Amino acid sequence: MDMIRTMAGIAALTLFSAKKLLLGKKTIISILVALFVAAVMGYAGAQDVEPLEDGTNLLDTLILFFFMPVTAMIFGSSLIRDEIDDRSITHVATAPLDRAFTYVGYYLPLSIAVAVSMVAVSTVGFLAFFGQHRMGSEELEVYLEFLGLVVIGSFVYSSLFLAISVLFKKPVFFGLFYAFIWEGFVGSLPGAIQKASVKHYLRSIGSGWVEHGDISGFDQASSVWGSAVLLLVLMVFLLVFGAFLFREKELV
Amino acid sequence: MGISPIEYRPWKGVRTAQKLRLYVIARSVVKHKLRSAGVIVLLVLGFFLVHTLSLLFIVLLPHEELEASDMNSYLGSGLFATFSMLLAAVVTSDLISEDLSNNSFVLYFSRALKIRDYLTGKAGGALFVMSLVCAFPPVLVATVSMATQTGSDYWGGAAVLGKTALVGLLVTVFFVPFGLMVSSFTKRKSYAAIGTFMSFFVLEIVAQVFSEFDRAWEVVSPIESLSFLFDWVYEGAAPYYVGEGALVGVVSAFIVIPAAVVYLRLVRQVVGR
Amino acid sequence: MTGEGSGPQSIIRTEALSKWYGEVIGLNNFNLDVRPGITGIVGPNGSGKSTLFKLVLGLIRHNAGTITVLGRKPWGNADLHSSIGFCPDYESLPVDSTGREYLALVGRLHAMQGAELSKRIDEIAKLVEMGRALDRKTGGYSKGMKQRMKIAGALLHDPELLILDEPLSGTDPLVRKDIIDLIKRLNRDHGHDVVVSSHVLFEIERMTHNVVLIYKGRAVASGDISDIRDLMDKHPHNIIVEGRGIAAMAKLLLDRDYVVSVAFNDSKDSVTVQVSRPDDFFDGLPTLIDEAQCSVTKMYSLDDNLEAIFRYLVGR
Repeated sequence: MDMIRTMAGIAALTLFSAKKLLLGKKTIISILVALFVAAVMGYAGAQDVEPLEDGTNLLDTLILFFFMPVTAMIFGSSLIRDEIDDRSITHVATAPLDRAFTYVGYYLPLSIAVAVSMVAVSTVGFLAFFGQHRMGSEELEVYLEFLGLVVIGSFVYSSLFLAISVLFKKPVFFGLFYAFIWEGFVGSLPGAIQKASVKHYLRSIGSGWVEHGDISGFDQASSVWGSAVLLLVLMVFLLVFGAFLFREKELV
Repeated sequence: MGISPIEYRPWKGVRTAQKLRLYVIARSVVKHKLRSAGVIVLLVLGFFLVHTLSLLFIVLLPHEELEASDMNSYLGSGLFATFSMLLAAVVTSDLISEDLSNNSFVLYFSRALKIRDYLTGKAGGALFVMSLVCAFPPVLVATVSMATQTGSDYWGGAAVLGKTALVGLLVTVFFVPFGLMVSSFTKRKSYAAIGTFMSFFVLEIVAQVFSEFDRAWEVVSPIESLSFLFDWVYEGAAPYYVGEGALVGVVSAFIVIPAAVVYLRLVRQVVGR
Repeated sequence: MTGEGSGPQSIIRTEALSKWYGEVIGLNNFNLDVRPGITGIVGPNGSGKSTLFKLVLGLIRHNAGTITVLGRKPWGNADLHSSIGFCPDYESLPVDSTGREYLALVGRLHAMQGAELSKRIDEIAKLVEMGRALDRKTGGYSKGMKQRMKIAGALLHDPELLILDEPLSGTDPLVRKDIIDLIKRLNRDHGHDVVVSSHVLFEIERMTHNVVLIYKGRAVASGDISDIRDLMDKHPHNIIVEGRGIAAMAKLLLDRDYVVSVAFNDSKDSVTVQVSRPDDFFDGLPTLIDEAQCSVTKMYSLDDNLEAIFRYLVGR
């Protein structure tokens, strides 16, 4: 295997797909989400609130546990699947690049695009809310901690939804089911069952990092390090699984 | 050479009237939907989850007459509206998006067919499918309740039955225009389904967040606004924190604005832009 | 159908190759040996041409038999793609990219970089006469432009072997001529081996005399096109003749030695003539019409098409 050619191929695909996600039609989604979050958080910020508590809760409710998984689902479900459906994947499938590495070439821009979008949206939301109140070191700390959770979540959810897009012909419906029914419902149930969701581990990490809002008082949290390791293992597993599926898949 | 020449013969049959074309479009939508495994599963699931339990309670529990409060609590629980929303997202997702993706507009509008007729046909088909879960079952439950009541006052029950028919009709109509609008914005039916579902969910979040500061914001939520509508129809008044004018405005906006948008969108599409 | 022994090495070789999609058979016990040069794969729609190409490119996996391309197995062998350029028969260009962006992606996927890549893109674009449209979005290209761009994508990395799946489909006669000339030049002047498919025999004839006929997933004949035509000429041709007074002409036809049989169709004004030497029949027709004092209003051959060739070859 020619490593230089492989790295060049991954880089080419990463650049192309990142441009498609960040500068293409899907950018409209990110812009609309940013505007919406700015409007909601701006309105909330203008009310009589406890800034740190309510601001943190809003960031979590809107972005961490809603828009981030949904954006990863929309981007991830369509990145490879759209190219398979319209057969523009032909030029990638006939390139001298092992399909497992091709899969990595799709995963990297996906997770980067989701992370960048959500960081931008979070920043807009943070400024819209906290801009109407004091913005000191505590607020900045909340912001940075929150961004950390967003970045972790982006990479994990991206690996999940990309694998789903290779596994199923209609990944959007499975993605919807996972994001709303599984994460929304199962992830909120009391007891051990909620540990079967990415949301639980993000909340656990958040409970250790963030000192404000409902997330800090998450009483069913797993350990921070344990959660981080588990998410890392999950991400790697999904990457390897997705790459294997993609390699064995008959295309076009 | 080597191919038999195709012999054209003029057709002397009856040409159908303009309005029958709406029926043809609506009928094709209904046939297509009732052949779809996903739609059948949702219809059966909807009937079972939303209506069957209430039907069983009514049959098994003795009751003197059909009460408005009973129907209100059964239909206004949130499950009925949520399920209708999900069904609308699935039923309407491909109605226009599929025609966009395979350029069927050329087929439709090279005939003597107006855009409003095309939309009416599509909406008609979708409304019929929606009514299988949203309109007929509640009326059936109300009818069974009346049929199994122990009391002799059927007039009161008939009024509640009428209100139930109205509620069923409202719910049937409520989500379809929005679904059609989203379907007209994309060529992929899965994006249309997710867009419809997500839009309603986002409105739910807005209502959830904003209502912490002012309860009147609950009316932004499609599920809550339908619930308030049921209260108004069955109990005579919407909750005190919701203005009836605002409620009518929001409900009309959910129906009229998307209908106008989809019409304008198709006008643009058909003239080649 | 499989060339053995001496001569240049096979580019593509299959033995008892089979591929099925559920209950649908794509290729059935397919044997093929493609040598260097231009080889035409000819078959009606649904005969298995595209299935063969997808197997050659390792896009799908075969169910039985063996296949080697340039001496290597194609499935799971991405390295092989550096030696193959593929132009599919379906639309495959990313619609939101310009032609230049598409070629840049293809080039970078083949580890081509920088100024050299830009120069190569301009060179290839000029070769396929797409220089001026390179910076337009591919979604706005005409069918002919899309075909040229796909060919450009196949040529960009200078592959040893070009696989062109129905490159002339949907193009106008001028574009068709340009593509045919390009294919011939690619082989003659630049040394590329080309495997090109079509369902139109005479289009392939303009590019090469070396053809493989494929029908319902099987290779029914391969070799020089004139040998295949000779096979046809030995097979009696059926010709329909219609007009007034045809019965008199039918009587005269029975005396001709190149006529195998004469049969009336639905009416006495239409006959089916089976001839062993169609050229002699057509040469002698004016004299026959004169002798019989008849008039011919319609005449056509039932066998002068690809379907007839395949039916004959399959039924042989």
